[in-house]
Amino acid sequence: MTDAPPLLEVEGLTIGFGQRTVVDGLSFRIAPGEIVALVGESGSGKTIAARSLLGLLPYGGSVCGGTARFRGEALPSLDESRLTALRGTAIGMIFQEPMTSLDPSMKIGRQMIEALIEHDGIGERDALSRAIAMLERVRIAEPERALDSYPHQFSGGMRQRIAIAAAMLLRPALLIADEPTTALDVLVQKEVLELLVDLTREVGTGVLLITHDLALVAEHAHRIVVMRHGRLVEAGPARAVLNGPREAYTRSLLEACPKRAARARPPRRLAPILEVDKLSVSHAGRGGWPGRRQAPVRAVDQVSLRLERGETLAIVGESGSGKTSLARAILGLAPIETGRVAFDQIELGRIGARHLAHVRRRIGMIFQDPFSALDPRLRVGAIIAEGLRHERGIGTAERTRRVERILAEVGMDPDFAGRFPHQLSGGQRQRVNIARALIADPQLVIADEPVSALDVSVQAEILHLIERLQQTRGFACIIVSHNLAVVEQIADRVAVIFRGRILEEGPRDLIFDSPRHPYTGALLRAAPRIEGSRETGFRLSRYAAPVAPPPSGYAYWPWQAEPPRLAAPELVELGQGHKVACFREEKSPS
Amino acid sequence: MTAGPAIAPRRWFVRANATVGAVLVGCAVLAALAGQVATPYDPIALDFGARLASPSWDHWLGTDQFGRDVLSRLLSAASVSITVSLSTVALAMAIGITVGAVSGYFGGWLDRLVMTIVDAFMALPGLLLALALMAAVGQGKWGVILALGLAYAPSVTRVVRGIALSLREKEYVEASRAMGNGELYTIARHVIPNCVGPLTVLATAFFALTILAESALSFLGLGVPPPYPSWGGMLADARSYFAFAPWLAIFPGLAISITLLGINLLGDALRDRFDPRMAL
Repeated sequence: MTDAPPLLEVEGLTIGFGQRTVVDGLSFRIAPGEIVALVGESGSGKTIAARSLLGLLPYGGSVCGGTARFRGEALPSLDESRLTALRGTAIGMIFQEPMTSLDPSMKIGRQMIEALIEHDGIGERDALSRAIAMLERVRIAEPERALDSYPHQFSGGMRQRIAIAAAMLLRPALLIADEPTTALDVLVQKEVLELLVDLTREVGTGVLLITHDLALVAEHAHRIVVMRHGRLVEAGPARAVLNGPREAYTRSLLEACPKRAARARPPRRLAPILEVDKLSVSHAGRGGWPGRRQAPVRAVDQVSLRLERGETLAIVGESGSGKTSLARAILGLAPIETGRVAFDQIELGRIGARHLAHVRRRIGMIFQDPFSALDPRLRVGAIIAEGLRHERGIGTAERTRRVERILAEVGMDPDFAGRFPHQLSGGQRQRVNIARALIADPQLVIADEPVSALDVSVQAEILHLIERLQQTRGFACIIVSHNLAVVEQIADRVAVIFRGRILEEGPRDLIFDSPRHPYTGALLRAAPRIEGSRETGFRLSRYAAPVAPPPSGYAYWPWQAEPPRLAAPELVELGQGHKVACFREEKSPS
Repeated sequence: MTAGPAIAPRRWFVRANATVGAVLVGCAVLAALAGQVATPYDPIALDFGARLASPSWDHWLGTDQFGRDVLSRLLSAASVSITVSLSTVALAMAIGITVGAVSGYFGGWLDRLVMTIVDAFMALPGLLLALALMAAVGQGKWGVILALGLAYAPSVTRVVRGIALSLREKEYVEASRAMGNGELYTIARHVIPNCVGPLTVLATAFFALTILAESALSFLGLGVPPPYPSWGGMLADARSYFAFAPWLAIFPGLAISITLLGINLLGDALRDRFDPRMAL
């Protein structure tokens, strides 16, 4: 492929914002039909570099040097009208956020054919029939109806497929895809990406795939360009870079990918720290008037869990599966509809608000978004010390001492106590978040997607930190996550949750190596991962564990179809604490 | 921080703004104090021999239709106008912040009830509402403060409620609840302080509105009762004489403008000063 004349040739591209250089001498090329991945952590300049190709730099940015040639034509020197002609027809773009990249006030059909009519000069009817064919190609059911619908009527995955269809309708020679699947669920992610790859191969479109996800890259890209601080670190064929990364930074990125490690067996004591029994949580339906309200949505449905002291349980599920509602209900932040939650044998539903506050103080909570989890008006010291507010007889000196101690424990200097959250990096904020959760010495820590907003290398640091603190402090931990690789690294036990129900639960190794429920199997197959080490070289691997048939006399709860009104599935014990949700076959004639 | 050389001029500009604002507000306060201690003439003494005298060495800013010294009246009015506008804004803020934060934070039926009342109040023009309220609470300085304060409170409530509604979803508010903090503590510690930025802007706008509204009320004979002066009242009285005694309108107008400019600049500076994200 490298022999063909390049479609895009970037040389020494330099972009500055005022005095700051954000992209510094970047060079790469893309051949027709080739998928090139631009990999880097946040702030590496990868998005800025790609946007500059289309003349879409944010305000204040300017190209200071270098050339970018598209089919031999220099891009930065193009005037606005020539660029407009290129955008869409020759170079398409797909954005990260499917919720905002389609105009919410315009019907899908209009949005799709607008550019087609503008650029190709064909009639509206021809354009519409082409749009329908393209929607069929991206597997949107009832494309005619879809054309007449508004974006909000579709899910995130469908919207991203529509965005891909809209971009590919113009058959661009180059497609710039900026984190096209980052905002999507694991299963949808796989589907959308495969669609993108198939479609571009058919049309012969070159793809510039911007991403931070190395496993994703390893699977689909022909070549990799690794960026850091605006500079090119390493570039080469995907396989070669993966197997033998030459630069230390590339190696450290690959090493930072979470991997399974042996877990110290948690000490078992008789009484579990947390018992959840047939818990259901519903959210009130929308609608202003009493009586006109929609039926409440059941977010958590008959969930039972048990957590030993010092143990880590991961709750895995896609968005909307009810995993966060479950975590909130355990803290008493979401109302319990039916069922029982007992923390250290204190039943939450039965105690008054004051006692509930007491229980909450013994549970620490780590939040997902390090940017919104810290009050921007308070200093780090005050934020952390707030966790001590309820402990009696603590003077200012003692408080300061404890704040400094916990800061040291999470690996931060004591002088960070005087800073404000906006002065910290994402990783530092997440450390503060952890320090706040731990300062009152909780027996249970609930972490809701603790690393999903962080870069890979920071993610690894934070995961190690949580593991280390758990060993020294011995708290039990519930990790809520959609990221299987993270779960594999840190969990003792895993519960897979889907539509508010637990479909499978068991020790980590059993879940990952011999999943029983087809849904678990599908989740695992959808998640590529990086394996290996510095010594052996890195490679892409997939979980390929076969899914065994259900225990005899049972059938699996059908997850792919809209579930019929079945009796709640029972969790059937398979041994070693491994349970899978099934229903008795005789109960449902199928 | 990222204070590159390119940012320095802006920083200087912000500092200069803050200084100018402080000086202007300081002048207004000094004038108000001076007006309480001593004025060149008695501000309410009539002197029909010197009616509508233009500015001169005897009367620096001229005299009005009753021969009263404009400078003395301006100084004496400063304390009334500043007390009225400050107290009004403080009252409106106190009511609006409390009701708005509680209503937005708790939501549900309470929020719906409060917002219905607020909407009903906002449907009436502010001045009309103030007039109706003054009929109930009485006239004079404190009547004006109470009436205008209550009339402006719904707008503040709406703004604060909107912010509280969005802050409720922030993880740091949830974190506070998860730590076992009480709801009222969470509101006081995490919700209200984060409303301050937008409120500073609103407060400075209300200062301007109050001074003008007070003048309108004085004009209708409901504000500060004559013969005692207020800036708004003086401006209102000057209308009939504007063609041949422009100084009657110009000087109170200047006093109002200068004070407002000072409050605006100082308000912006204070907002930036107390927002750690804007720290210079």
